[in-house]
Amino acid sequence: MAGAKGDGNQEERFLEAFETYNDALFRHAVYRLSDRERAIELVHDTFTKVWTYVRTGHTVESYKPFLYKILNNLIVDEYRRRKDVSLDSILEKEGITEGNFKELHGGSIEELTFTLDAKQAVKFLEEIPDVYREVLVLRFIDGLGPKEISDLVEESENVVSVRIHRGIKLLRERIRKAEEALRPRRVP
Amino acid sequence: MKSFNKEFAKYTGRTRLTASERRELRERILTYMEYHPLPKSEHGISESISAKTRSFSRAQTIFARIAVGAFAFLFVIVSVPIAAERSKPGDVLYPVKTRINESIQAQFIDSPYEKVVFETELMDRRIAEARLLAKEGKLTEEQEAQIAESVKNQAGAVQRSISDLRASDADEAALAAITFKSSLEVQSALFGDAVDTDDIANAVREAKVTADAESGTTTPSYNSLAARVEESTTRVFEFFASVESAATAEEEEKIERRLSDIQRTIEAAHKAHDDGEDVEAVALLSGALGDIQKLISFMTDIDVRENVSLDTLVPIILTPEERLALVADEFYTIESEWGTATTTDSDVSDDPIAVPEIVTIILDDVPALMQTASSSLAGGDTESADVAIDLAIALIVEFKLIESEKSEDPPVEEEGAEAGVNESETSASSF
Repeated sequence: MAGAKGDGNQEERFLEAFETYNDALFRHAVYRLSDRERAIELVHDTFTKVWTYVRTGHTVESYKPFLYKILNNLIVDEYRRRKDVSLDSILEKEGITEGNFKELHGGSIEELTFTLDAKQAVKFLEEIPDVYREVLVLRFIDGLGPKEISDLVEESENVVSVRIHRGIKLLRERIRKAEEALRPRRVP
Repeated sequence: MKSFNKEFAKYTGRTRLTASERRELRERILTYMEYHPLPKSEHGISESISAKTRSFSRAQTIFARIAVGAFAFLFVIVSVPIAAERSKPGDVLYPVKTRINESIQAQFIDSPYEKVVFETELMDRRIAEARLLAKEGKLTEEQEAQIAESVKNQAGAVQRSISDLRASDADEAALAAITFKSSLEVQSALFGDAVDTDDIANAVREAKVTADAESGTTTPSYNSLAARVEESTTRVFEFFASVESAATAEEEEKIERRLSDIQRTIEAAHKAHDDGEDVEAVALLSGALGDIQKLISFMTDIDVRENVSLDTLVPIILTPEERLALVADEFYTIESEWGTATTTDSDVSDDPIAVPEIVTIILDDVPALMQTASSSLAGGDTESADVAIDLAIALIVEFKLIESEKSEDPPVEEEGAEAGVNESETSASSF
């Protein structure tokens, strides 16, 4: 794998990125796809695409956002292949327009998650639409900030905040329904 | 949040590649790298164009470039800013409008009060642009979010400027607060219950709530307020003269009515000041100043004129005579319904409905109060007339409240009560 002068540095940086982010990217993919094998494949494809980018003369300034961006695109493609649905159709199906930011005033993320059981939330994560799961995974599993998420999903920070809010609310709703289903009914 | 984050990370953090999975993945990627190695550097290829060729090309085009540059310079300096003034968010020239034109306009502001007025105007412009885009069906979610943010920022900037001004000139700060509040009232009225510009409407409503809360903290002195009202009154009459020919007869009549109301309020304020009632005088003048500014918006902004009724924006202020006439109407209605009942009250078998005490009081007292109000008005004593009318109104409103409570029907209790209260409120508010 010898290269021109300076190539060694590119290789080192790339391999260092692999060692640093392989687990995080895998975790991200698993929670987005709920499919361990497929998650490994997409992480592999992510690194090979990035390597192709590097070997065609480009420089990656910061690996973390770049890797997440590539992986995110692959996951979105995967969804399209699987369900043949777009983000817009998901939103339409949900009867949602993202222009409505008034719900941001309905409580901060801190307030919304204050009484939310994290273990339960993880359990029900796969049950909510990917458009919301995407931002929740990026926020709570990958620990990215709204600005980073905004850059990654190519939406404004406001849209990201709305999706996080809605995602948390959906999780809360799923948990509530599950708890209700388990609760024994009182016989009159 | 921290706890949720930690807990969430704790549960999801357990999801990792196994050692064998990681080893296998690493091997596959290293293999890929081996078969797709980095190429040798191709630097220098693009440097093959000779310096001579470049020099010739440059000499040939230099004159043309100067000519084009001069024309472009003139175009940019003269035409672009003018064209930019009409641009909307998303247009190529919009940044010229917001970053260049408005910055230049801001340079000509010479007082902190004017600065607040200008910043308020900028906020109004952003909202107007959003409404225009929404009307054309071109307002994207992204733009809406950006404009809502911009409105919030602009409203915040105005509030900060008012606070800064308060430290150096409390009077001017209080006057600026009235201007800002009037502007937000106009904008809120314009949005109404609109849903297509919901987050912008929310930004305006939030700003209005803050402005309402802030406006009560400082009041201007009577003298500076009177001077500003005088100045604004002159302006509003000038505007009216300029739109008079274009306005419909109905619009003209409505505007004239508001101008007359404002004049009467100003006179009442001056009288209150003469009587040593400065708090009342300042309250009246503040209201008049706000109404003047809203009336100017109505006359000068076609968007306001087309979407908000003047009755909503600047409600009519009834004269004592009009209030007395309303009292008389209400009284005669009550009298015709209950006047005969009083005589048959003792005949329990025929008429079991007892006359409420409030009706007896109204039938006894309101004619005397109306007489007092009428004679006071004839003598020019509007103050005494107002006192008598207020008392008569209070009795009638009391009667209506009692009636609405009585009319509640138990099976549909809530609906009946609601309807009754609304009815009485409507009647009461008509005074």
